[in-house]
Amino acid sequence: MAGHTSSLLLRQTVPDGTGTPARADDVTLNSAEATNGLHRICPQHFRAALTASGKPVTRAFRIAGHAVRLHFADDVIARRLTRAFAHLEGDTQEPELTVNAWQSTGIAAPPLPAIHSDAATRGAVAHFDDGRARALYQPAIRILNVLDVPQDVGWFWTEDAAGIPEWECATPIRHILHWWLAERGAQQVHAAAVGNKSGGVLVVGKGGSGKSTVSLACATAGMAYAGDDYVAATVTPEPYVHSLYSSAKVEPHHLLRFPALSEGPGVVRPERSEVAPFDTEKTVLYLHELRPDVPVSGFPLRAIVLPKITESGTSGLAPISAPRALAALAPSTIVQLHTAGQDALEAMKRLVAEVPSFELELGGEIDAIAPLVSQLLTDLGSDGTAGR
Amino acid sequence: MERMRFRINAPQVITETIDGEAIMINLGTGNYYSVAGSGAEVCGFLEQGADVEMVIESLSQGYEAPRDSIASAVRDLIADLEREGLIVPLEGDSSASVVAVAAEREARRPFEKPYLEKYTDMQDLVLLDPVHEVDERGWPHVQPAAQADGA
Repeated sequence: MAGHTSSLLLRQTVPDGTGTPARADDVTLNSAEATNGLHRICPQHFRAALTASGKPVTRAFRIAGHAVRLHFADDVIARRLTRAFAHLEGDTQEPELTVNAWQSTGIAAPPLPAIHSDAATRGAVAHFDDGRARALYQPAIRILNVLDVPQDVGWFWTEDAAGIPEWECATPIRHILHWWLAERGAQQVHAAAVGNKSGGVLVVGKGGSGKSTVSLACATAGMAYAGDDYVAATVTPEPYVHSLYSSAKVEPHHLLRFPALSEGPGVVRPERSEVAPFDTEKTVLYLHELRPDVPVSGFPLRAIVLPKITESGTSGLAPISAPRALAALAPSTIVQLHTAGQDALEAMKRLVAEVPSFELELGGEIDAIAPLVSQLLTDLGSDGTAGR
Repeated sequence: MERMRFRINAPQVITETIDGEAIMINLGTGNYYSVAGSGAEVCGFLEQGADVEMVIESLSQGYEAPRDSIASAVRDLIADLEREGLIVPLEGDSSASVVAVAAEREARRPFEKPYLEKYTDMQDLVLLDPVHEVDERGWPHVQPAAQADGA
């Protein structure tokens, strides 16, 4: 924490309220003022970006049952951050959460911590939470997320919207959504979710465990698709999975197993990233463009499924204990979310306690997966009473 | 060791118990653990403020097994939990907790030896994606050059 008392000479852009282009004033802030005042500083920067752009974009979505309004300072950042939300667009109610997003096009960056990430710590982040505001800075991709908790307003800044890695665009503003939704009983989890109109399963496990195999196999078969990487889950009034993103991320060689999803405008293949630690990206699929019939906003949760890749050649389902399901869901979620803790673990425990859990052996036959999941949902019945 | 008391090493360690098994996650290392058998009970007693002797006594009254066997198993588990940084010694008098722990006694049943299973498969992600928690002093320190240039 050395240097915490050092001062910051910030070329802070202050809108003058006359509609003319913002001017820049030199403002001296120390680190504590810069961090604690993010919820006051971000509006100034956003207004400056709006003035500089002159082309603001507003989009409205319904996410996990809440009206969310996204304001963008320009259409470039709007395009990069809304593609994965397309299946949730169209809410006309007064927003419960508003997120303002901008990039540094000739204006000052907001106050940022001096932490660095390299190949050894590629995903290093700085996190701040004083109850009034939460902030997370991702130095490798120059993204700052801020939530003004009592105002229900989020602030998203990036240095260069065109340079945001596609994998980040596939799951945009997830930290702000994680913090805000958690306060409303919706826990973001690292899981895929597929099913049908009457219910679905949460597919859990760490990266490489087979989540995408299951979710893409089910999407290919026309089953309802709520997500591949991050979804939100609520326990009351009934266990329910809420879609956050229509995207999926898959290793390029793995995509060969899903030829129906491997071509089209919804496929974004990795280019060699200019961000060195991330120069081996996955292919991103936008399911609402590839299979407009499969993305859904959510469904009742009937079961938790833990994939297991086997060499046996046969696929099948077997019940597993609740502790094993929680051990598959919680550590992976908490590590991936960066800022989750005891409250998140408790929320996931309550979720696991409500539905039965199964191990899904993946024997190599992609076509066998969707019928197994469908049969499981049928066996569980509409109220899930056949299990736990 | 008998009079020592411990607490869960929160907030670095988080834990929940489901179906008699405790899942513990060390946020600092990414390692996670299953505490099974009678282990979740041991953790529960420790969280209530019981010292090691009280934990042994409570389990001895609750399980059908020689006291020495139970004592050995409890000491081994507590040593494992402390070695993994999941619990830390707690200062202070334990007498106030005696009644609370005694009230937890149940009918005697076959002893399930407590054990700790460790999983390290998340460790790499934590090492690659470290989280720098920032306190009230603000961001660790600023980037004068970048800020002054408006970058």
